[in-house]
Amino acid sequence: MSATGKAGFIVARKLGERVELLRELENLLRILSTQVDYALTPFPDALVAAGRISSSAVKGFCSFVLKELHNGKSLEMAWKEGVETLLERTPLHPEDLAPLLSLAPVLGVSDRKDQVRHLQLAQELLRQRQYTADVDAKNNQKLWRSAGVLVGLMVVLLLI
Amino acid sequence: MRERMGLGKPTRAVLEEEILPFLAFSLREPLRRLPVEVKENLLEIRLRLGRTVMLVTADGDLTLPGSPCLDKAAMDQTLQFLTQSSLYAREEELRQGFITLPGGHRVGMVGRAVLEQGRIRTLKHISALNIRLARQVLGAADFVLPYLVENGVFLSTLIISPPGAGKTTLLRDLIRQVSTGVPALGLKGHKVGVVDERSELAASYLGVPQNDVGPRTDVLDGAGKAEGIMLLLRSMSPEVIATDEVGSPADVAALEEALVCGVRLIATAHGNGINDLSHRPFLRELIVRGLFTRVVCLGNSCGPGTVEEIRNGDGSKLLGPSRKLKGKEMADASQAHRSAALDVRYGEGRIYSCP
Repeated sequence: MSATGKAGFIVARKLGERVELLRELENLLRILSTQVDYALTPFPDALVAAGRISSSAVKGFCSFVLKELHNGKSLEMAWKEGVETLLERTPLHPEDLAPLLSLAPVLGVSDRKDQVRHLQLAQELLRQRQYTADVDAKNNQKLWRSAGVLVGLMVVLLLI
Repeated sequence: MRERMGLGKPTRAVLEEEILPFLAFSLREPLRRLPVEVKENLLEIRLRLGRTVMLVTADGDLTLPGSPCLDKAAMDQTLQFLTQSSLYAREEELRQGFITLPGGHRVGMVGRAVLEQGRIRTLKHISALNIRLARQVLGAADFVLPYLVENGVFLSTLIISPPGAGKTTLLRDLIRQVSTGVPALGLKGHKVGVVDERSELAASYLGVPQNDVGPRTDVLDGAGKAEGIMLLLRSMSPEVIATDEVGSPADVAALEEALVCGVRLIATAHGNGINDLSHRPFLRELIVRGLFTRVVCLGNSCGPGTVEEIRNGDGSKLLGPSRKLKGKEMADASQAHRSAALDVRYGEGRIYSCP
């Protein structure tokens, strides 16, 4: 009962984490957009600044991209691989990361106005994903917690 | 060649440490495999989309061996490395058509210009790059400086030269020496303000001068000359103002304003000798109005950097080819020769000293 209950709570927690991560990724893009727009900060430096004030998963993403850039990879490749790593290590769904992936070929290769437009569009798309994830979490978190306990209870009853 | 000119770092080391990390991976190995003598003579690397990579050396042009035509992937990768994957951060420089790298190397660019209200806003579809290796020649001003100092006072100086004859190199070293001071000439260090419109003098990268411009030098990077001179006068109380390639009426007005404030000037202008100024009214005015006490003319008669003549502001010669120096001129010139760091006879006076 405790195992199934725990499993239900883990799934429920991941639903909440997904919403939180999407919010943090939106913040990351907001910081990058500000650094690009107001300070014309080079992208690697903007990533350092953004990573400094982000949670561990987003900070890890920034560090990964920076490391790959340092190894001589293009920003497009480094960003893509960073997003793939994020997908492997977090409860985010592939469609949640589509806005980030769409940025890969355009980051750093155009003027300020264009960069800000792309970053703002990606923020907007992330916000929509966040809304969907939030609704999903609200609908299902309680369900998973209860289901975990109930399945455990049923197993116990069956065994008795 | 850099070593011959007394520079600290050989060109081959500059190429490998300061240029190669900014080039596409496919270009690095062919450049690394170049013979040492080619690396040492290297002046420019020219990348053109769809064409072979050209190297401009002191001995002429050659194509980069072992490198096929430059494809778009290599050009894009080079651009990413050059701009740190941040084209937007170099927008202002792109508008001017070049960016500066650490070490002061300049990368000229052309492509499709994006216009805004008739002016270039930025460049896109960049199709050609010209990577010019920076060449700071420490000691380039050793030969001429004794002519430009009188009783320990630095005299306002105009350097006239055709393109590629070394006026910017000479100006850069004059800035350094005037800023540092030259005890042998009784010249104390001066506060020097530099208006570096094209980032060629100090070669600032992210605001930090990459060339040695002396300890008392303040650099205003990227500003127009006329506006920049006025800003320096207001803000930095310079004793000497230096700027490259003057010539417009606004430049002349700003230089006059600086003189009124008691500031001495060092400037350069394009031209083949002082006679060339007669065809260019605004430049002629610089001399007629007595803005400059000395005029140094550089040329190529004995190779780039030859000091062709040095004149007083009134036109009289201190050093020149067509007649023997007499009287005070001779005394001035010989005094200057004796006190100069190099023992140079006329015709051998070059800002690039030979081994």
